[in-house]
Amino acid sequence: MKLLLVEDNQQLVEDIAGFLTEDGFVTESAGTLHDAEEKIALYQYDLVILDLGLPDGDGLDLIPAIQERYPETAILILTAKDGLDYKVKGLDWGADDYLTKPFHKAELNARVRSILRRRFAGGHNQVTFNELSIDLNAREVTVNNYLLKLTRKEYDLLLFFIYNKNRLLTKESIAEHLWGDHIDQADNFDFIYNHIKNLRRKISQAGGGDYIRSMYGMGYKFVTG
Amino acid sequence: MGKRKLKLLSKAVIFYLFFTAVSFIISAVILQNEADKHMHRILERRLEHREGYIEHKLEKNPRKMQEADFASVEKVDRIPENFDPVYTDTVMVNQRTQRENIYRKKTTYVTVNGNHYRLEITKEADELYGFRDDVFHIVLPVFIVLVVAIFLVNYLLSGYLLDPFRRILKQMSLYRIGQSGSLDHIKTSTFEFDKLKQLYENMRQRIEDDYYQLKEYTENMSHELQTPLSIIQNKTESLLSANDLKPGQAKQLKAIYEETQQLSRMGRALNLITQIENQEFKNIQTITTAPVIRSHVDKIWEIAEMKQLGIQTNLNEQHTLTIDAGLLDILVRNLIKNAIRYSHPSTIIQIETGEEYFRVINQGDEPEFPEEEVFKRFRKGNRHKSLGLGLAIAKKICEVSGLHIDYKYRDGKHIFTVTPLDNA
Repeated sequence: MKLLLVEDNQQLVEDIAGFLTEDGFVTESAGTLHDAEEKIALYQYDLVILDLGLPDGDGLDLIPAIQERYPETAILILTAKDGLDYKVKGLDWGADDYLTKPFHKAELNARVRSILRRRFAGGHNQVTFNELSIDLNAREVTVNNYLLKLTRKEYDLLLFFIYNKNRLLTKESIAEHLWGDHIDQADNFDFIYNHIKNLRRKISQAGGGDYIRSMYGMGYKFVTG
Repeated sequence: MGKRKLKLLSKAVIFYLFFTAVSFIISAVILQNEADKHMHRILERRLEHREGYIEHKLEKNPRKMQEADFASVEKVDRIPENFDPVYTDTVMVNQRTQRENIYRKKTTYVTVNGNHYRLEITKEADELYGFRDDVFHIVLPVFIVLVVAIFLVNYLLSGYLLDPFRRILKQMSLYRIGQSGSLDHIKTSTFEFDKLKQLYENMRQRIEDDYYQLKEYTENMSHELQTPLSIIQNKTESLLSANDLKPGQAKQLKAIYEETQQLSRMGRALNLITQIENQEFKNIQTITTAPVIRSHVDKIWEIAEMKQLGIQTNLNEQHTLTIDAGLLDILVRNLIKNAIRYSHPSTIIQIETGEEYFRVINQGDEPEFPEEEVFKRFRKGNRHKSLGLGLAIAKKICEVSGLHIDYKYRDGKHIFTVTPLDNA
């Protein structure tokens, strides 16, 4: 999978690119609207991650150009502008998703995966890890072919972990992923522990391994090794 | 309330009337004096004439003096030295008409054929004095006509002269920042009003410039902050992902991470308030609230449950609000989040809608500040780590949407009620 990251801040480019490369994506970057236009004219990408506030213009202007050349290219807007109108406009113009800064890398990763799956899965909608098997269409999880009875939140939580294996998922990022704006940031997120505990119990009861570790009281990690 | 305020023109009229009355009184007094002098001159001439006639009669036959001569003649031994004739007014009965009349009387001395006489000559003055009263009879109606004229002119002037002024005032009172409030369409040939117009235009321009500068600054601040915050957040997360962190380091990184999150939330919340203030949410429609509230409760009951809170809804399916859909979403969410945050554990949060209201009630501690300050920015319970912006945002949303939000603390309950402005 080949991604183009259109973002003018070099630090952020390095961060995101490094992160996505680790996950097996080929990532290129463009720092200006002009650069991005050139790259889009030359190469085909599966996904363009687009910052709106570029030094030489509005990233939104790039969307028609992308869609004209490669209609199948997915677009994820990643911006500091969190005005509702920008969001509506971006999605109207054909962007697949919209994420505002500051974002959790795990969240970006989950969104990227989910967009790419929707666009390019082509019937293949199975994610497997060792004895865990997740059917993304039916939203079902099996452990050694034994179907787990997971709540909606537990399913989302597991998928979030599977997408971000071996990475720290902070309580904040988990809470935001599961409850979005409804989560009260001021609260402590200890209630997440209940969901994690239940998930671990259900997996191990079905004979699955215990992969989720608590990290420094900050969050959790799905450890594969 | 201070002193009763008068209209400029009424004030001018009062002053004008006062000075007119004073000048009329002064001129009436002067006129009367002049008339008196004039009449006295006429009477003196007539009395002199009669004096000559009496002298003539005395010369011929002193004994033939009669009452009809309107004079009393008295023979005296000598004339007082340096005697000037004395004029007085006196009331006497007219012999012919038997009516009391005012007479002018002249007292003087004459010497005829070596004899000294004291003369008192009278002359009827009623007719002439009537003329003096006529002065008042003329001045008063003129004054009344003038007063009426002043009122009439005042009425017409206030319509014509002050019309641009009134329109300028109206335009000024309608002015809202960020909206065009130009006075260009108000034409006036009055110097002062034109000056007022110019001053207002300059002031408006200055306010708008300041406002847009501040707005741009706030927007830039909150936007431009987000990218560096993203970097700090991501780098901290990366560091935290490392397996070989010492507990002390993890603790410090955790603090950095949490404060970064707090900063970014603050930036977003303030930016949201600015956007609401700038009326950037224009997707206004009449929305039935029951489904919206239900969907929020659906997403949030789990969080409430974790704090041992129940949510009870009593929704009127007919209740609607005319508001931007996105803003309604934020309003409902903020009120419910607030209720969850400030509830005693194991209590019930009630969400009700009626014909004309939307109400959220929860049980909690009495606020540590006056009720009316609950909507102030950064006002929050001391023990809570929240931003203290959620209710400020709710209030702002109501302000721009023609809604009234009310807060009361009664019997251990926090009660928030949203009603349309017109029946608040």
